[in-house]
Amino acid sequence: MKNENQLDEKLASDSMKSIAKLVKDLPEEIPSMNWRSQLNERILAEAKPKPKLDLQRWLLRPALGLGLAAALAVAFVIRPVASDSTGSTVESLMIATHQDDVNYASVTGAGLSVSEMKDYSSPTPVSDPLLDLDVF
Amino acid sequence: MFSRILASTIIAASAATSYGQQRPSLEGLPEILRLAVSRADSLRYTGVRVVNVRARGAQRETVEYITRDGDRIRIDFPNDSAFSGQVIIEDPTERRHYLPGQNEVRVLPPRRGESLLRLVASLARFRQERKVSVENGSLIAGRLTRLLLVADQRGNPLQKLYIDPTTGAVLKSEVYDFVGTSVGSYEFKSIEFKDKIDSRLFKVSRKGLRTVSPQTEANELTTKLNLRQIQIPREFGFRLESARVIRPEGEPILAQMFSSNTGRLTVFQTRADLKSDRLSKFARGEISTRTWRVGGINFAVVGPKSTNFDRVADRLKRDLGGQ
Repeated sequence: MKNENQLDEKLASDSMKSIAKLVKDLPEEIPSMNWRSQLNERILAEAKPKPKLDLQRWLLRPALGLGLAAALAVAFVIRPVASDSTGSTVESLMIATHQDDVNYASVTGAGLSVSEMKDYSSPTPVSDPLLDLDVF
Repeated sequence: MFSRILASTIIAASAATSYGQQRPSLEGLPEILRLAVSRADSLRYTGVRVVNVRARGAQRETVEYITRDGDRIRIDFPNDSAFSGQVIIEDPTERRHYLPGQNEVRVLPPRRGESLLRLVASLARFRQERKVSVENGSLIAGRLTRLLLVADQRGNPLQKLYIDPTTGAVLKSEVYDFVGTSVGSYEFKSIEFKDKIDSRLFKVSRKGLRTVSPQTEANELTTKLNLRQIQIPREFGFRLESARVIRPEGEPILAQMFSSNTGRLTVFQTRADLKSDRLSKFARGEISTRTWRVGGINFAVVGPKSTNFDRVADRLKRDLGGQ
């Protein structure tokens, strides 16, 4: 209570009355309509638009999902047939290798076999050229 | 591919009957073929022959200088050949392939008897399914020949042999697949019969020569590729002929070729995916296949349809821990 009386006394003082008069005499500012309009436009622009039903997306999303699932299946579940650079599969390569061996053996007899033809086809100098009989 | 499989099957199946019997029965065979078989181990000659083989669409031709003294044969190659300097010497017990570039000799099972004996065995086994005829052949290496034509029941040629009626030498041979395409052939361009051949031609002596067997080669490859060593027990009669990697650019596949009295079979091992049903599909039921998987390695055995094949496959699978 004592404090309230002291506060009333201070507010009633001359110095405070002059400040009150000063504040009262300040001009009142009205917000510009132009500024308000700009604010409204910014609010509209930044506001999230209400989602509309996009038929194209609605149809494409499951297809995209299925496509992705199929690609993953091919990559990880349905493993592609292993093939070499010629496109032969491991299995066809095995059968062809065996058959070549059988066929070559039946034709060449003591001659070069299929593996010898492939593995040893690097010519070796037959003799020292200095010993070539044609030289003498 | 089907026709090639069929041709191979016939060759392999024929071998499964009596190849390995040094003297298969000649009863009922044309006189000219009997002459060729009976003289096979007593001919002496030197000659040049051209060998043509077709494999997976590629044609390969090699020229060979042949020196033959009965059951021994020596093969040299021309200076312009990719095999120049190499020498093959074969007798009834082994085949020695000299590779001077590597200072190596490769010791292998003998192969010379296969082609003629396989034919005789085939004719004995498929007597009802084969037509054999003899007619005048063409001039081969300056000698007039008799043509022995082996055909299927419809008359499609399977094999043609041009035989010198004087000596019994087979101067030209052609093997066909079931669409009539030549699988391979050889033909002598020149031949000179001799009374005597210098026996020193069948000995090669080089200091420091390294002897390599197919088993050595197979062991090196299995170690390098971290695969399993394959041994077919002796009781089955198979000998390892070669070991090589057939798919070096992808996951490697090691192929080991074995030959025996009952034909030829190939054992494969790889870490690549292998589908048993797909292998059977490519074999089309004409040749036998068997697959299993142990410790991340896929094994496959491919060979002629025979009980011996089944026994070998069973044994290999058991020895390697397959289920």
